[in-house]
Amino acid sequence: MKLLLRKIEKPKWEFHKSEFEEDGVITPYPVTNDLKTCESNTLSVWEFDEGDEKLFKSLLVTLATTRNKLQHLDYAIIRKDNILQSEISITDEEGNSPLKKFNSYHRNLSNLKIDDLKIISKEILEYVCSKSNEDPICLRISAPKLRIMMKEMIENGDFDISELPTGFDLT
Amino acid sequence: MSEKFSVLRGVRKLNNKHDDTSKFEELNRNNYYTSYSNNIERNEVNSDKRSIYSTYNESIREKYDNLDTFKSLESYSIIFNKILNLHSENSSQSKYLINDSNKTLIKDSSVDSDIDLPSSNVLNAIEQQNYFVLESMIKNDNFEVGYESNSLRFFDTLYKDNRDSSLKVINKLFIASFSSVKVVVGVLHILSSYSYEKVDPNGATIALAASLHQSDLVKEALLLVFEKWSNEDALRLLLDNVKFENVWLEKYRLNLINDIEELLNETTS
Repeated sequence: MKLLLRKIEKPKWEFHKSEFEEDGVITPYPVTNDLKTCESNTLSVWEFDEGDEKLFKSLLVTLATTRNKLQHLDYAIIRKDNILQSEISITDEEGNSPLKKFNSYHRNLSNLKIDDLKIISKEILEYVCSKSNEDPICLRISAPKLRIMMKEMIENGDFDISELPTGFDLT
Repeated sequence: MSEKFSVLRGVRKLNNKHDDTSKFEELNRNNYYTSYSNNIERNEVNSDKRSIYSTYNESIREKYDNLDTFKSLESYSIIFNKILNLHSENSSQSKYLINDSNKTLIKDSSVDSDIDLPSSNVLNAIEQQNYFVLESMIKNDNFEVGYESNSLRFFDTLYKDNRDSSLKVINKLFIASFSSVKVVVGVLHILSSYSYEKVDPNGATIALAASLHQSDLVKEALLLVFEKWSNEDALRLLLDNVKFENVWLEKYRLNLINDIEELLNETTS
């Protein structure tokens, strides 16, 4: 199964999930604060195959490097089939991470309408609720963990340390 | 606020154009004193110690909307200082800017304080100015994990200019604003960009105090600071002094301890 990785800020969803769990209500706060589309009405995601743990970890690091500070990364996983069934279009677009090797895994959820955000939010909330009950910390990679993962990828030759943004001090 | 920061951060290229300052001052003077006089007439100064500062801010904001060339941090600092000086020289009401509850934080040489503090604990005029600007910026800023904020960029210019002074300012701001979740979170976001050594000893003190805060948002931001430090000191503080009631924050704290230990082991091996 194809999965889509999306960067989120977990507290924005975590602190507002009870309404969804109890009544299926999606409150606007996480949607308006954490699903900010760009002007072209797209949302950025990264595609990988279920079970491909190596690529998944690499994409987490890739996603972290699209920011300018090495801090923890919160993420959610969306099922691609569910998005396609909702007639949300997914387009290939090269990512802008400094880790160029992985930019080809980047996708856009495109031509989004306001109703589409509700569908995407529902996917994220379902993921957050199910995973949080299993393991409350599973949607977050800490900064020290990211450092370790980056060092491993550098040792494996996945990318060079010089490709990292200046705010990423691995020492 | 972003407009304000674009003025602040911009632009050392107009560094020597003090014409900006006098032009601004001239334009500003009438407007400022008119509004300030009105304030006094309405007895608002006594009732609101911040009204004068608000007047400064509004005047400044209004005027640099009209001045295309007023674009440098240096100019802003000079202008702010001049306004403060003008105010001190010409107004017997100046003590209201720094008195009341803030007198333990901010002291002006022209005012007799009821409390004698060591001079190192008192903000000088420039630090007062930086204090108010930083406070204002944090209140209007948007802090997003993984991204630099405007407040951080501003603080970093202060830090690079004078480390001890900048830490004194942020320390005072943290203490004075402890009841404001927004400001406390902002201070922690700023600290989370500096290593333990770079903000020692103020950083650890602020972190420990923040761990006693009621807000989960503050505790969440506090963990960002420990993540950045990721050293033995952070580990000791996290293990011995910090504990959260919120289940997932507490689990994340424990997870973070493991991750920091793993990182430290890897570094030493």
